[in-house]
Amino acid sequence: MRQRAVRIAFVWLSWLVLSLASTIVPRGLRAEWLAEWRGELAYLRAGNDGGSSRVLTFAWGSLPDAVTLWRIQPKEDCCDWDQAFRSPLRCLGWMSGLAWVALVAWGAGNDHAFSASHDALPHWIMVCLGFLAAFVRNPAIIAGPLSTAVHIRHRVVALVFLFCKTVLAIGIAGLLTAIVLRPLSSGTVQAHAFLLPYLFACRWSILDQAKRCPICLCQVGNPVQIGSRPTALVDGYEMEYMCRRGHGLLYESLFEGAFCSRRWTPLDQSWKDLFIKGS
Amino acid sequence: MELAPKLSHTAAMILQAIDAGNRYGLSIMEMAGLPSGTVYPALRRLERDRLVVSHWETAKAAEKEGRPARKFYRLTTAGQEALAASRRRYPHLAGLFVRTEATR
Repeated sequence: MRQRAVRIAFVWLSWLVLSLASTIVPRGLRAEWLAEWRGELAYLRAGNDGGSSRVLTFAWGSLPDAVTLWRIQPKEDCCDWDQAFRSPLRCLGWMSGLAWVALVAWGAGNDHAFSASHDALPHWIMVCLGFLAAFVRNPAIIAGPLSTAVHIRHRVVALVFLFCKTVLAIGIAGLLTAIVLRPLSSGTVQAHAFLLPYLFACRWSILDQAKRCPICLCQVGNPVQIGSRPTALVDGYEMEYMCRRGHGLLYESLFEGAFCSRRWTPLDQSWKDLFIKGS
Repeated sequence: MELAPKLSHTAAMILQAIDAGNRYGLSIMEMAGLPSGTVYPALRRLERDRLVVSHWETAKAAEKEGRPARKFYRLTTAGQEALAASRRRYPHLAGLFVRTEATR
């Protein structure tokens, strides 16, 4: 009787290990992976050689197997975090959630970090300085050759999205900095310390915008390097990105100092069958 | 000049076990004396590198014998070449496993 109970416990544990390991396996492969492991476990139990502990030892092997599958699969198929920011609405939704959490955390303490001392620059000046510094580094996002290839309606929507995203990013950066700097007593040090987070927030917002389709504002994917550094002047040296919804191809020059750093090649309706609907 | 594929000893043993007629994971484990945590990850990598391919046996064949369906592995042409290269590299590899007939 006791032997039977031990055997059931081992089988139950092995199924638990298998279920835990299956959560690591990329979603698209999970059913097949589970079928293979469950089948092999059934054979092992039926064979009954080596005792119940052998079943559990065998099931432990599913963990490194799951990790291996997760590692060798292209990240695009299994990284959910990346997908959270892929579409513009999701991006704004996540950022609003983060801003709300940061606001709650900041409001929980009796904090006066935003009340800058008289010697420090006002926050709006630091925000403007941060945005200017980030914009000067990558001006082609708003102006430049890319803007002429896209309809004005899409350009306006892109600018509104960039504005909302930047405001949220600055808000999150400011609130998190205020929370981190709480223990510091010097008001001037506290106030000036906001400049760097504002700069990072603006820079992230602009760089994120650079990797989005100018039509649907979803993040572009499938990067392919074209050319190489030694042949940059002859054949070009750039990275090609593709809009997952098939709106076009984005080319970004990898050659420092290139006059035309980004260009957009729209794809017409004849290409649409190659792309998954609603992806 | 074509470079011969270089495999680890474990991967070479697994290829040899498959070549000897052990076509599913459990049988490869038993033949090679390796744990499941080594054999299955190695099979995934070999499959990614197109040295082995896998396929499921038909549900009908498994039901006929009253057992769950199994996933079988077999060597590809590239896998055969890699195994031949490994046999040159590890001379005792060829004599390790006795060829068995079909699957259990």
